[in-house]
Amino acid sequence: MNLTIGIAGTAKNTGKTTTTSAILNELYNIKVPLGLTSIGYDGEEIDNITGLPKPRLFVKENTILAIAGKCLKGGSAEYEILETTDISTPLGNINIVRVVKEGLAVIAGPNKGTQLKYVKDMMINDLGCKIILVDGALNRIAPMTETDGIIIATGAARNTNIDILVKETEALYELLNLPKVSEDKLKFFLHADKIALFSKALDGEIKFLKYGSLIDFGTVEEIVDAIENVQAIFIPALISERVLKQLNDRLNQLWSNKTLIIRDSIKLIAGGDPQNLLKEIKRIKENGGKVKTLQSLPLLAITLNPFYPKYRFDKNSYEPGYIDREELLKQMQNAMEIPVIDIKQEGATRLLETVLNHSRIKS
Amino acid sequence: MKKKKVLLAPLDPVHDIGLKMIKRGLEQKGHDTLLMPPDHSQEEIIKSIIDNKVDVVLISRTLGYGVAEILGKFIDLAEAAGIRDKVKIGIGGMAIRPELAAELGFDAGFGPGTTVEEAVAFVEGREYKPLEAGISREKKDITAAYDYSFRNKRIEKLLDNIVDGILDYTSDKTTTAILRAEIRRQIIDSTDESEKEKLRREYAKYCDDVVKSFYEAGKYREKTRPLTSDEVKALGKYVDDVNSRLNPLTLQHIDKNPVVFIQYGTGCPFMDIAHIKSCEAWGANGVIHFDPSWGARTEGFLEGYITHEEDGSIITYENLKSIKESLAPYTLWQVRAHRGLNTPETVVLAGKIGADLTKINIAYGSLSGGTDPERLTVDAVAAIKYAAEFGMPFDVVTNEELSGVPAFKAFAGMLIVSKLGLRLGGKPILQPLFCYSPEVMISGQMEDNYIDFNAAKIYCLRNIINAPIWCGAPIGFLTQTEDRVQSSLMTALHASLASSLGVDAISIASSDEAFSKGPITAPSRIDTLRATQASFRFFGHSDITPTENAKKWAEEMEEGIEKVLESVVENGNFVDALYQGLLGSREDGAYPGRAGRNTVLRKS
Repeated sequence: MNLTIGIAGTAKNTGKTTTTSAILNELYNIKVPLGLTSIGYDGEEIDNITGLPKPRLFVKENTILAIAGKCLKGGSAEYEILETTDISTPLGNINIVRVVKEGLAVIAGPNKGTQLKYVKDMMINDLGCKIILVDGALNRIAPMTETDGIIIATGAARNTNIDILVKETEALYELLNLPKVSEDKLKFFLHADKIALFSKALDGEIKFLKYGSLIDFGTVEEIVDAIENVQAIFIPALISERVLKQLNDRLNQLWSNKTLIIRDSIKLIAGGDPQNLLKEIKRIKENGGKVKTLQSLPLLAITLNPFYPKYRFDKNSYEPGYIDREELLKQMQNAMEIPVIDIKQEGATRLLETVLNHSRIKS
Repeated sequence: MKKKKVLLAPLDPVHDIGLKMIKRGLEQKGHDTLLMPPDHSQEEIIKSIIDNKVDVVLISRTLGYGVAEILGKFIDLAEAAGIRDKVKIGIGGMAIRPELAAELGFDAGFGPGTTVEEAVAFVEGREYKPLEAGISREKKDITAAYDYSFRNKRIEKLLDNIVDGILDYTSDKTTTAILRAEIRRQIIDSTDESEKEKLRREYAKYCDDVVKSFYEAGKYREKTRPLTSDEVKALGKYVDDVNSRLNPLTLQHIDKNPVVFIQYGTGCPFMDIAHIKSCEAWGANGVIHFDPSWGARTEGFLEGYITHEEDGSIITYENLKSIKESLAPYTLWQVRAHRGLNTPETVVLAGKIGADLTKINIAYGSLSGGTDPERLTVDAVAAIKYAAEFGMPFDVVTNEELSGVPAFKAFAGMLIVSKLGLRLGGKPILQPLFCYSPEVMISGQMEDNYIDFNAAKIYCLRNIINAPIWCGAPIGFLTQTEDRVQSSLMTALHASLASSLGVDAISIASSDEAFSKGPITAPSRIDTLRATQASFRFFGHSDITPTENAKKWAEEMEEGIEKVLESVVENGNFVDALYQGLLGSREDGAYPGRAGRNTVLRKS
């Protein structure tokens, strides 16, 4: 059994690092061989943008980290370098290290999906890690396709309006829970890297378009022109909200009995606002179509942070601000069937149970 | 090397100047470039990357809150579109740092000061090696170009006469400071701990009670404490860390621009070093150690790493050594020995530890610095001999002007000590003030502008002697207000005036120096360093032209100096001339100092 968990945020200051840190501490209690990396830059004292103090990461002996060269001396922890990889970042090449003296760590890790996969495989296969935590960066989510499930940290830093925040998180939840293509049909799609229009029989004629992503109106016209004989549209890469809306505007009821297949929900979420995207997905369904994914990325839990950096015009600087915590928690819990946790208040025990439960399901 | 195809895209409504410069640099190296117009959507940029099969993308964007998310989103789009592994993506903008670029998921980040060559290196996939700026980062010997020949022979003759008198007067005299300096030198040179202990006991005999009780009972003066070993260790770590990241700016734009010194003396060696490192990073060429005012009234120095809660940093071997060790190899270092009861020992410590410069002036130290004229005269002769022995040039400061002494009188004192320095084998540096002094406030020479009277000082000194000039201290003194922008501008303009007049060095204040109500802040140091740099850049080889007044006042000053020197010669005794106010009187605002009065000893 092994498990790679991503902690993604919807914006800066939504509590990614606090969540990572809390899970890390719980995992130290149960003594699981542990790997940790970040797709961004974590552990710094002061936020790179707002100048406000940030939570920091405390790592214990024997934890395996993937960490850029210039971060090796960034905290108080000390490391044994196991391998210096060819993966380069703005802060130097990525090193795979073992913590030899516990302390605070500053972590910048691989920031592309393929690089994350390389690091993850090494941690699991060569170094015996059972659980790997991947700390997110800002609102970036794309490399998280390499994880087995994600925890989303959201809160007032994303939006101070609770209603909007709940609706948006709910949309993310639904987008990440799109149904999967059945196993027997996967083979038809796995190797296509361009948008593919499948005729009535999946093993029949396939028309490949110029792009792998749905990002331009020319592609919309090509699909519309060919739609009559199409049973399924497979989009292997990015789907832009704007262009998907255009496609829906043109196809409307022509979606009937047709399936839109995407590689994973991240390709959709990266392309626009979750609520608008969900609206478009619902339109396809309302018109008799279906939407499926090849690969699922389960949303395991939501962590909430009522804090946000409040801009002070009079001082031209940021200061801490808060929204109603109880109300946020209540509304979010009502909207979703997964654990919703204020990590600062509640701690990570329930979160860890959820994670471990998932790993049992997986194994 | 393979030709690269580069897409340059401003992810910004308007700004693309930086990208245009990089585009030109890339084309000169034979790469293909595509510059997208501003204000295209992220999807359009992604599509263009795919359509044009580019190898490298350079994005520019000015950063504000929320923009980081937009940039992160762009990287997500690129990854979701499946191009992230095929294309290198760099980000440039005023607020971009490598840490932020890493957080945003880019392959490189280019912040302010990025050169075109740096971006080209990224495109070509090679390591960027910054070219050294045109002006070399080496310690400059500001005395090297001068032969100290006198153009005004009458003044030279008067000075020789006075110097003869000083040497004669001091020849049979000594002080406890001179005795301590010799013992200190032996302590430093000795490798035998028991011998050192013996020497310390001997040293303590020549100290006053506060210092004696330190050596005899380990007692520290009030508000004074030793740094803990953790603090000393942390200091070493801090310096190593900063040095590993130090990539200093260059202040000078042309060779003619003077060497720029800053002054430090926060009371704490740790904070001093932090200030020094900040100033080095922003291009300061030299730093000046300020000692506490109580140190000037105390007989003897303490030992160890010591901090205290007052202005001025305590002189001990260890404190000075830790500061010296923190300096970049190209930073000039001056330790002042211009007043007080420990001047010979200060020069011994500075020389032994490797200071580049010191500061000695009997007239200033005894008329405005609080030290007894006779005592300082005897000590200064010994101090100058040490400075000559260690090859340390010393400036002869004229800050008595700030007490109200007219420039011509202060200059007379400066020239006497300079001539004394030359006679003893030293290398004096003239230090006229560039300030809004009480003299001009009363007489009105700066009613129209700050240029003419300052220029007059330089013209006057050049008419007298071919010697290096270092304007101080700090330039623009009393022209600054508590508004940091105003203060920085005043510093910068005075710096450019000094440069236009061809002086060799300047000392600059921080923008909050006169108004900080406590330790000055590092950002305010950066204010004046950056302002000075900008001003040097602005003027280049253009000169500032003073009005006719400058030459007229220079002549008047020279006549005034000659008259003062004549009166000193007439008096027949330099020390007595100081007491009598010939080089600055009570009416002017100068009072002979009392520290160390009646302590001069006959040589046995």
